[in-house]
Amino acid sequence: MRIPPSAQEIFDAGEVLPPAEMARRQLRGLNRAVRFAAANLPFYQRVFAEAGLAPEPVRSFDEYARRVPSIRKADVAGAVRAAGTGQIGIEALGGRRLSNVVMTSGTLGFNTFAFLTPSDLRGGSLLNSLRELWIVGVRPGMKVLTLSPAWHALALLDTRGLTALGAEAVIPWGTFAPRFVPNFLDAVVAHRPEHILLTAPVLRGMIEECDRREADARDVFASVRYIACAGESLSAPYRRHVIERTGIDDLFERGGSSDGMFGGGECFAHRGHHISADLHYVEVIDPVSGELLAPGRRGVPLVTNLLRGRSVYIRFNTEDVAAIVPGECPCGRTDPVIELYGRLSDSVVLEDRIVAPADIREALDTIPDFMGQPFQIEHAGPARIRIAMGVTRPWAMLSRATDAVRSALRIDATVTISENLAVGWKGQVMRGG
Amino acid sequence: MPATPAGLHQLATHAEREHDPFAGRRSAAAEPAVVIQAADGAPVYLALTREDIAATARALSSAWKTLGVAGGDTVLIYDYGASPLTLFASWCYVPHLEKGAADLLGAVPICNDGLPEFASRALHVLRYLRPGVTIVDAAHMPVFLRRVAEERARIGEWTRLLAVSPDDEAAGPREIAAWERELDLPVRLLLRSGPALFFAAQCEAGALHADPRHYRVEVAPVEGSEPVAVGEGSLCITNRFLRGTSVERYLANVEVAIERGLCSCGRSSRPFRCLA
Repeated sequence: MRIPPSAQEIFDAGEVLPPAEMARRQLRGLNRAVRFAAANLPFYQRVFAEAGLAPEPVRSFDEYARRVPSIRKADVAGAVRAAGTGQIGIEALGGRRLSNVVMTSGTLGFNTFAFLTPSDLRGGSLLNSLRELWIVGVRPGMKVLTLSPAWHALALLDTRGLTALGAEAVIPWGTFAPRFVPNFLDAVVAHRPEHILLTAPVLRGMIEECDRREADARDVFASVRYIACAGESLSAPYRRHVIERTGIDDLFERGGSSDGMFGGGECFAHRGHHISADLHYVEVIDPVSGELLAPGRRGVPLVTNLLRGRSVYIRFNTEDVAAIVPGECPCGRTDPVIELYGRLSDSVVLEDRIVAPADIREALDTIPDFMGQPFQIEHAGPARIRIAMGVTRPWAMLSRATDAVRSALRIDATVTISENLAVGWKGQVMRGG
Repeated sequence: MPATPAGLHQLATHAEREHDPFAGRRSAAAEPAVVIQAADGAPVYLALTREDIAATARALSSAWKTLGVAGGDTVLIYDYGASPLTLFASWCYVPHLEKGAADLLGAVPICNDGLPEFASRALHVLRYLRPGVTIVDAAHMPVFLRRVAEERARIGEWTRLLAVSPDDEAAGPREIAAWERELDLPVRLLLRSGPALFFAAQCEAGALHADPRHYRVEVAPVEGSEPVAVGEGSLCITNRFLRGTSVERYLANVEVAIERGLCSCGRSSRPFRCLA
C-alpha cells in the first residue's frame, strides 16, 4: 500500500471519490455481498430464505433497505448458542488460511466471534486502518503510545496499520482499565510519544493522575501532538478541556462497532466519523418503523461490510444511536460522515426524538464538576427524562446541571443522584447493573 | 567479564535513580521499533528492534512447540495483550512482527485479555471455540478455577491442555498436580520472565526446557554468588537474541534446579524444574 507524504491530509483517492461514483460502487458492492452470502454463507442463506429475499439485484439504496433483511446482535449470539460454536456461517473466508479470531464487545452479555484471514488483514481492513490512523494524525515514523488489547478487532487493525506506517510503538503494561492509568502516564513521561491511541476513560484517568501527582499536564504531555480516543463520544467542552489542560494540538474521536466490524476516525473538523464507503456501507434507520432515514435524522446504524476474507455482517444493526451528517466536509473527503451518540439501550426514545448519552454529556461537560462523570438516562414521562449521576454533588450544583440539560436539549429534565449506578471495568455505566 | 546478576528490583532502582527507563540495558546502536514495559508497575522497559521482535516470536513458538501446539490448533491466551505471552503470539498483536508464534506453527490465537473479570469470558471462549491449548497467566488461576467451579464447566472436554504461565515466579509440582486434579486435565508450566523476554515450557516428561539457541540458563546458588550451569538456586537468564536491549544474567525471582543429565524427552537442552 502506498503511503502518502506526511503533510497530505487525504490518505488515498478512495476517500475523495465523486459521490455519484461512490454510490455506484457501493450499490455494486452491496449486490456482490448479498449474492456471495446467498450462495456461500449458511447464516445468511437461512435469514434470506426466512425473509423470502428474491435473487434479483437491488437498484437503489431504498430498495436495498426494503428488500434485504436486517440482523441484530441477538441473532448472531443466538446462532452461536444454537450451533455451540463460534463459527456460525457468516465467515467469508473463501478457503483462505485463518489467521486470527477476535471477540465482539459483548454488550448483550454474550461475546460473539469474528474470524480474520491474512488476505483481509493485508487488504481491505488494513486500508481501513491506515485511513483511520491517518485521519487522526498518525504519520510515518511517529512514536505512538498504544496498547494491544488483542481480543478486539481494532487492536489487530491498529497493529497492522502502525506497522505499515513504520511507527515506533510504545506499549505500557496492562489494558484499557482504570487501574493501569499510572502505567500509561509513566510511559508518556519516560518515552515522550508524539501520538497516543487510547480510550476516553483512560485519558480522563491520566489527567486526574497528573493532578494526583501534582504534575503539570502540559509538561507531562509536552511531546504529544495528538490523542485519539475510542469507545465513547467526546463532547466539545471535554475536547476543549483536554486540549487546554494538556497543550496537545488536537483530540480525535474514533468510533464504530466491533460487532459490525467497521469504524472510522474524525477529521480535524470533528463532525463525525468518516466511514470508508468502498469498504463498508452504513445506513441509518428508524429504530421503531425500520424506515430508511435521510442524512441529519437520528436512528440506528446498519452496516454491510463490502469486504471478504473475514466474518461478514450484512445489514447488521449495531443498536447504537447515529445519524449521517449532511453537507460537505471541510477536509475534502467525500465519504459518508456518521456521528455516533451512544448505545440505543443507554438512550431514551421519546415520541419525537432520541435522547442519547452524547446529548447529556455535551450539556453536563459544560460544568467542570460534572465533566466526564458517569450517569444514566431514564425515562420519566412521555416527554420527560431523569439523569441519574453516579457522583454526589451539592443540590445547587444539581440544579445548575438540570438547567444546563434543559437549556441544551429543550426538554423537561432533572439531574439527580443515584447510589445504584454500577460502573463496569472500563469505567462505563452498566445499565441495569 | 560476565555481568553481575541483577533482578527486577535492581533494574527498577537503576531506572529510577538514573532516569533511564531501559535501566542501562538499551543498546545505543540499535534502532527500536517497539518499546514494551517489562512488568506491571515496574519503571523498566525493553527496546526492541524488528529483528528482536521476530526472534522473540520464534522463542515463544519454540516453547509452544514443547507444549505440543501444532498446526490447526486454536490457542487461547488468558493474559493481557501487553504481556509477552500475548504480544509475540500473532503478527497482529505487536507492530513490526510478520510471523508470531501461532503463525510459525500454523495455529490460530485468540486473546482474552488479562483482567480477573474476564475469567468467565475465557470459559466462554473455551466453550465455543474449543482451543487445543489454553494458556493462563498463573496470577489468574485462582479466579479461573473459581469460575470453572461456579459454572461447573468440564473444561477437559473443551481443551486438551492447560498451560499455566507464571511471570518471574515459580509454580511447584504440587500446585500443578492440584490444578490437574481439580480440572481433570493435563496441566503444564510455561515459565516466563518479562524483563528477560524468556520462555521455557514443560515437556511431556515434566521438565522445563529453554531453547539453548535463544537463552543461556544458569543458577545463582546464593545471593551474590557467581551463577553456575548446574545445581539449585535462583534462575539466571541470558537472552542470546536481543539486540536492542542487552539481557545478560537477569536474575529471575524463581528458584530452580538445573539437572546435569539430559531429559528423557530427548531434547538437547538441560532440563530444569521449579522448586516449590
